[in-house]
Amino acid sequence: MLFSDEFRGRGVVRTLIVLPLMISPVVAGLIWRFMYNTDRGMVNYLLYLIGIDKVDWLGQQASAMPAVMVADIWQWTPFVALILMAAIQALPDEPFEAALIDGASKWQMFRYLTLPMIRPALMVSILIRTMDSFKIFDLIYVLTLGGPGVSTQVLGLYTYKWGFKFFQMGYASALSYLMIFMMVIIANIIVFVMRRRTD
Amino acid sequence: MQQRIVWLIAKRLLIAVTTVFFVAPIVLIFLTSIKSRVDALAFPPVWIFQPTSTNFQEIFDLYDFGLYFRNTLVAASASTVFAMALGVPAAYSLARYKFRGHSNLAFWILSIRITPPIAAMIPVFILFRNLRLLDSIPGLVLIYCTFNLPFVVWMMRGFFEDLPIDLEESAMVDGCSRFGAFTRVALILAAPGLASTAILTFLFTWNEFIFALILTGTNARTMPVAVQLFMRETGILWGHMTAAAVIMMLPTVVLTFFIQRYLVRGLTFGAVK
Repeated sequence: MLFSDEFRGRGVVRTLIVLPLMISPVVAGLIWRFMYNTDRGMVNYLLYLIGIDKVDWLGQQASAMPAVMVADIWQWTPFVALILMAAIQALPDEPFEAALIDGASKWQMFRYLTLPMIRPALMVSILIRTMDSFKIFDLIYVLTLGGPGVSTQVLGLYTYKWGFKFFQMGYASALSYLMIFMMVIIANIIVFVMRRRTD
Repeated sequence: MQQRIVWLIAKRLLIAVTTVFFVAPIVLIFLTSIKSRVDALAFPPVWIFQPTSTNFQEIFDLYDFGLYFRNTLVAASASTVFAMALGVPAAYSLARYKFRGHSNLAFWILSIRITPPIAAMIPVFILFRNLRLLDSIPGLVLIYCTFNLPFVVWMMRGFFEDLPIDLEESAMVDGCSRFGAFTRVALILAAPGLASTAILTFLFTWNEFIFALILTGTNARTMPVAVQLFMRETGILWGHMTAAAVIMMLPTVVLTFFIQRYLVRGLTFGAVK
């Protein structure tokens, strides 16, 4: 949102924030594993600077899931930002000029003009992200392998373990089916939204 | 007036902080990859150090990283070339010919892309085992093609539909065949789209992990699989791991600069242009 404003060097900044997006999830996982490292990770170093003790982020049930989420957010926020930026730039100028003349505040313009007009793009990005979150595998495989315990076990990883660690192909196939079923539902919603826009 | 300046500064600060959040981890990985072993393990981290290329040399000397690099490169380029060769004409016909159910066909093609790879994993694995394609580069190329093809078709269809049809029509009036109109007019006009689709396909394959993990052993192993193997039970070889990660990131970073304009479109299957 912020980045659609004009400012100097915005091209560079934009390119920079897009980088996490293009990095392999495996590498993103490694990067965050490095950040979360108990003894010499950057996260603990920053906490150490303000006087907080070391935390084993990925090794505790309570903190593992939030830690994984932060890594996922780090990788995928640029995606949503990118879509919304494109949407905002495609908006026509006239309504905003009219609003300015009518004395609308910046917040009002955002709330009553920008937000309703970018709603389709917002919908698409939410749906695609929902779909992708179901697919998450690489990142967690690298970060925690589903542990500690099963605190970060996701459907994809669970299927993988049943199929290729315990070699229970039947059970894993059933899980795959369940997964496809859920994806079909989400995908149909996406297709519906997209069709309505193209028609 | 003063309020406006405060607001402006706040905004700039926010932009700076966000940028740092997204970029700092990548920079840190790079810095660690050029640190010596002692410096990399220091806590608190050392900021001023003697850069070294030992890590980069070691991953090629101590492991088969050269092989993994070549595997990834070959698998990614070959599957991109095949997917483009097959997908571009298909996309063109989908964009230009109206036949019964053509939009259903288009959405059906897209559905392959939507399916989570892990859900297709088991049948693919069994199929590959029976065909003796496990742990071979042709096998990898084949499976990547399957998954890249729908993406190419979908992307290129969008690009072709954006082209004004008049140019092709006038080419045909001037005596071009339909195929001539495709190769001499449409393909050339869609060149930027062609390039960005190819680059995105290449990058997706370059980064692919699940299929590579399950379908390869030691011969056809690709970099994403190799990189995570630097994490051992006994501890993580940070120097080697970060060096490998940097090598993996390099093409993505460089290529991202080129395709920025088409990035949104590629990642949303053309839902947002």
